[in-house]
Amino acid sequence: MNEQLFAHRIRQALDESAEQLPYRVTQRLARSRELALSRMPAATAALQTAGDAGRRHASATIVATVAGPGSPPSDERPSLWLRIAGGLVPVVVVAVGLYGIGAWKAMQEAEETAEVDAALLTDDVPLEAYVDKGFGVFIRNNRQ
Amino acid sequence: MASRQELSDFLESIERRAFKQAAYAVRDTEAALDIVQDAMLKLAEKYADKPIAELPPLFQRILQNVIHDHFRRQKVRSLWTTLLSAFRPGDDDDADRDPFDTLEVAGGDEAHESAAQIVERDQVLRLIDIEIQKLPARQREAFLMRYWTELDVAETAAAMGCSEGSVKTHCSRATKALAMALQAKGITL
Repeated sequence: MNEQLFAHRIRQALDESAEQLPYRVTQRLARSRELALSRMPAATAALQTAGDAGRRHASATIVATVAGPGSPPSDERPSLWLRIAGGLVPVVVVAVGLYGIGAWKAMQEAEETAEVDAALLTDDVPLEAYVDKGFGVFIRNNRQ
Repeated sequence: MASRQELSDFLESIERRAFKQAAYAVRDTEAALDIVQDAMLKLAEKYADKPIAELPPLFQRILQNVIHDHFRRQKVRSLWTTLLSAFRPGDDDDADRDPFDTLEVAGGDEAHESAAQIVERDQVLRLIDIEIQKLPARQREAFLMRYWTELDVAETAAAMGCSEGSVKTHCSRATKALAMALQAKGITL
């Protein structure tokens, strides 16, 4: 058996079979192809689109792409900004979360300090007693 | 760097073969369509800057990786399905569905062929599909990449992640197995 010849005939059969795929399959494949083309990186797509449209449009698009903001073709801008937003949103959420946690902790500490101050000020024991070393020894001895 | 038009032409030229390759492997039309779409997306997103000549072997490698990922996910999914199957009514309507069951007969030169010839040819094509699907996975991959997508031995080996010698062995075995199977069914090519 000639392997190459046999494989060639199988190939012909497979090609013929591929031409007979159901309509819904070929339509889905076409949609997948269009979706894939829409996902080409913006810079690559912009340069290729510019090349197709003509030299003057090409140089303006390329210069604008290198120069700065607002430069990608309008049909690419939402995709580029969406991707930037998608990358920044998690960072912003984490930063806001960390700030919130820090602020809440500071508030807790302030409340605890305020409670201690209030207890000291409203206590029967005069404030001067707390700075007296003998008073501290008295408290420790009586605690036991 | 491949232009948008070149990439579009390339994808259009390989999409049907890619679908059939995936369908042979996973035996599910919808899964095969998803696999081809994933492969196309990966190619366009990550390799659109490659020269057009490099796209065929690249796409084949991506396609094979996506197929392998599908099987890995299926293993995990089947584990949960097995665990939960006791709580669900049976739903085996799609279990025996063959992706090659429904074939639209394309228009063309059918007027010049008799109905019997058309039916006979369709049966032969269907039998070839079935026998290719029965091949061991590695033999099928090597055979289709080498002889249908026209990659050379080195490119096929790179896409399959094996040696060139293994590719030749797989191709040889696949060819012999197909020839014997078709001959047993009375088909001589």
